[in-house]
Amino acid sequence: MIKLYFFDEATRTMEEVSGGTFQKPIVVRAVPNGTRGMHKLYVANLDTTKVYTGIGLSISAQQSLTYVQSSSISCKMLSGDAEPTEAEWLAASDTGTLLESPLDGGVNTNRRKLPDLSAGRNNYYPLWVSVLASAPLRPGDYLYTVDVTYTESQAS
Amino acid sequence: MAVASYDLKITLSEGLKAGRPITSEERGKLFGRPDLASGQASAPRLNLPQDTEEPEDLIAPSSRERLVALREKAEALSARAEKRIDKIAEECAGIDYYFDPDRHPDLAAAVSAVFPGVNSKITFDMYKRALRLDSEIMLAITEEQTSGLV
Repeated sequence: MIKLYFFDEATRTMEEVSGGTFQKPIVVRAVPNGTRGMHKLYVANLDTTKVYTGIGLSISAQQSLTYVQSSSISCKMLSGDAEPTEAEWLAASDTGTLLESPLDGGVNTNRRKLPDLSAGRNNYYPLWVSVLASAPLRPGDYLYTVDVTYTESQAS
Repeated sequence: MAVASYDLKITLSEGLKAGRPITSEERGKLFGRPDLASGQASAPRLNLPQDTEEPEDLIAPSSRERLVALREKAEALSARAEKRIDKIAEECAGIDYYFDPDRHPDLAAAVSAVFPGVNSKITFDMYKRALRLDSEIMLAITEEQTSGLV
């Protein structure tokens, strides 16, 4: 199964991001009208029997929950290991735009690309999520999802 | 084409904010500093042992002038900080913080202990009252602690 991971600084291990329970979510902190909040993620396929192609990632707000939703939050994603510069973030696409596989790194083609994920490669491919919030927004937790679309097939 | 969704939580916090600026008199009560308007200390002086207290007339004029100048600059800086805090307070006046008590039980318990019947939100007015309560508690603790120095 293709999954998202984050690196837990406390345990020095890769932790699997939860899906739907928000027990282990990706957490990005930001201040309205403040600086950009960022978080590094990894996508990986640790399954030795499956191959994933046509991978795309996008971010969407959780409509089913009662938390306040707001269009004043801008979420962006960029592939690559190095922390993107502000110029790269400004040039990247906004919420809802898919990062297709191989991840094109937004408008910056120099950023590392994400290949199709073959079976059990045990490789973690890095990408970054950024959040920029504009006031007025109530402080608190705003729940989103990173949606991963893919085509799954059996490894030969 | 299949889809898998993973959780992303965006936590928004606000910058430092406070209620109204602390008046010179209140500052004196909290920290025992002189009230510049009257020139008198607004809080009881600590009853320190006599041999550790330097008489005012032994301070050289130049040292006193420097102290006065330093105090005036500190007051000016404090006034600027208070104005900024006041501005932040005005901008944040309409902000209410809502949270899920099931996900933040410690916070819910703390809020309901101070504000009975409330366990899922903190209004700006509640925040100001908490600040004031915190100041009063600190003052009470300070007075209790300093009374033991006699």
